[in-house]
Amino acid sequence: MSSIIKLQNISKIYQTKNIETSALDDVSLEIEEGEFVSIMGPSGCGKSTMLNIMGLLDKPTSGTVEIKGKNVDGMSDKALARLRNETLGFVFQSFHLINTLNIVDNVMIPLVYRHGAKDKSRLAREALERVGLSHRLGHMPSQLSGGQAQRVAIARAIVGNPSIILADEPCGNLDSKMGAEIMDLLHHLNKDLGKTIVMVTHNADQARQTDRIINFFDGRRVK
Amino acid sequence: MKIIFKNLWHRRAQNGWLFAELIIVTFLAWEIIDPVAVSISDRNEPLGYDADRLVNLSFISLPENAAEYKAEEADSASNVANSAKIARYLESLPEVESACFAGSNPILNSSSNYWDQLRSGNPAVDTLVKNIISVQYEPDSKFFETMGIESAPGSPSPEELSRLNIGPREIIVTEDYARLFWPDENALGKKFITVSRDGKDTTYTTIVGVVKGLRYQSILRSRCLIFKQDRYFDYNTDFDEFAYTVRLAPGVDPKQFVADFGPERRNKLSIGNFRLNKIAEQQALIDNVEFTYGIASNRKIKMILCSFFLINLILGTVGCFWLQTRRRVSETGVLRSFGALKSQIIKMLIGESVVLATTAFIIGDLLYLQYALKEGFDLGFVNNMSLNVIDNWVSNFWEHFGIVSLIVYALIIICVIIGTLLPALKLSRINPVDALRDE
Repeated sequence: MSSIIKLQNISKIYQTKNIETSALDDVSLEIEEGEFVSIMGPSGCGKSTMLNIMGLLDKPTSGTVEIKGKNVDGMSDKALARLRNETLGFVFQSFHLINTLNIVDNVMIPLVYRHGAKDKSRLAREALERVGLSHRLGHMPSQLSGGQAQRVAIARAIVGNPSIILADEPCGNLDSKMGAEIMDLLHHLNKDLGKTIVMVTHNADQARQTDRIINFFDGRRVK
Repeated sequence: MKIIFKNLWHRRAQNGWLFAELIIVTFLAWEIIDPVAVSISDRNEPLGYDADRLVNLSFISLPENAAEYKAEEADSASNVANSAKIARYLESLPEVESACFAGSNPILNSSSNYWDQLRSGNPAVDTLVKNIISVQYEPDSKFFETMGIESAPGSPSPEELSRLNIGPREIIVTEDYARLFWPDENALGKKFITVSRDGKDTTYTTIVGVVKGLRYQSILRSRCLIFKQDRYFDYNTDFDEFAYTVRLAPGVDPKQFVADFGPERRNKLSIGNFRLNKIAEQQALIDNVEFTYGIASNRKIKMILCSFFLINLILGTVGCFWLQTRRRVSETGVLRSFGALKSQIIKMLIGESVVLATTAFIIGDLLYLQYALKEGFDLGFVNNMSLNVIDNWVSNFWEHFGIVSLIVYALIIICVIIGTLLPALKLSRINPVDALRDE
């Protein structure tokens, strides 16, 4: 198997007027294609920063990031946006659905920004069907339970058929039953659709269900 | 585009008040911008004659008790002869191209103009009665070429018109006026039925010359005039002031000519009982007429009001759209995460604002139309001299509505774009990670 995500010597320092905070300190890691990896660690250890750097939402202070063999260093905003759109899907802890759009329109968002995308509505409906929400198509986010909202978020993450799904505490705002359902869904995406999944979690049980656990402490990777 | 409409539709509750505000803004903008548009249009409408190189010299006649008064030169024949000497002196000046006796300044001063009612001999428009401003000019005075009045095609040249010794039943008209009676024909040689003011005398008057349309005063819109000859010193036996207008040679600055008009030249113009009283550029006289009628100050007030309104509109719109977009920080974070570019975020926000403003404008515009159908539009300065013969976009209802609608729409859209662009730029620059943290 080849590395789909390769991070080398990543450091991230947040600089304010008088304070310099190191969020990541010389971290290297590789994720293989088709892996389901969880990142664990205490709050403030740099897990989410690492996920944001992998997701090209943030830039490291130093180090290199490779996604599907492409070094993203020096890429233009346009190229990064395109790479994010075609290769990455995000699932956030607080779902981040747009409340003024119905769930089909929410799921359609990645396709709206994909050049030449066709049949957006059909693809969005299929994605919602895949996460078991075909009966809720006309609903607004406010009409959904937490578990259903996270399913919509997962549908949005997969609608553009990205290779990588980055999930930042996807079950963090859900009760254990709903959390288990979401984990089942993520496993299904990994096993049946071959998606590479990187999940940040605090939950050791959920982390144990994944192929590999990467532990972080104080901005560093630990064994 | 689809996402813009979807966003607007789904946010209809939040956008409702902004939409209502934009409708009111459209209505108010009409009320404020319409008079300014009319005023600017009137101001910029060509006068129809070349006033740029004209300088007006006004003369007074010494009173009988003045020390230098010459009783032997007070008769009409002496006045005519002395006036001719003034003309010769003025034309001898190197900066002067031509000079004409301007009596009481016929193109600017209403005192020498009166009303006639003319009917056409043309059966198709025979029922037309048109009040008209009549300009009297001095025979043999180089009036047309000095004033810079152009002849209409097929009509004698300005020099020929000045030399024409026309009778009391002959007139020269502007082509705009002639067109009202003979829309498709050359009016030269045609006859008017002239009805006197008391309506008792009817006579035929022949058109002996047609000139291009010109405006009698800059504050009036009409380009309809007739020209008649009249000897000033014959009908003004008790005059105390008259004027000469000179056309300066190309390249001579009128301001400089006026400033350099020193005592030596003034002395040379002290002929008989005539003394040079004032010298002024024609443009200064035009401005003075506007000032006298209160048009200049009125225009200034309108412009200040309009500027104040527009500044408030921009600030208000920026404020409203700022608040609207501020609520969408997290949304932009999501959109950026899924591949939206900064420029796409800006375009989307501006697109939403433009669609919202356009829809509100259409409703506000139609509401104002209902009001205007009852009350009419602003017509600018209208006095009885411009009635019946106003003939540009201002007086054409639908043309007026269309033009001012476009101006109002353009201003609203510019304000809305500025109002949205600032917060949209700020929003698009927020790092997606920070945007996603915003709740």
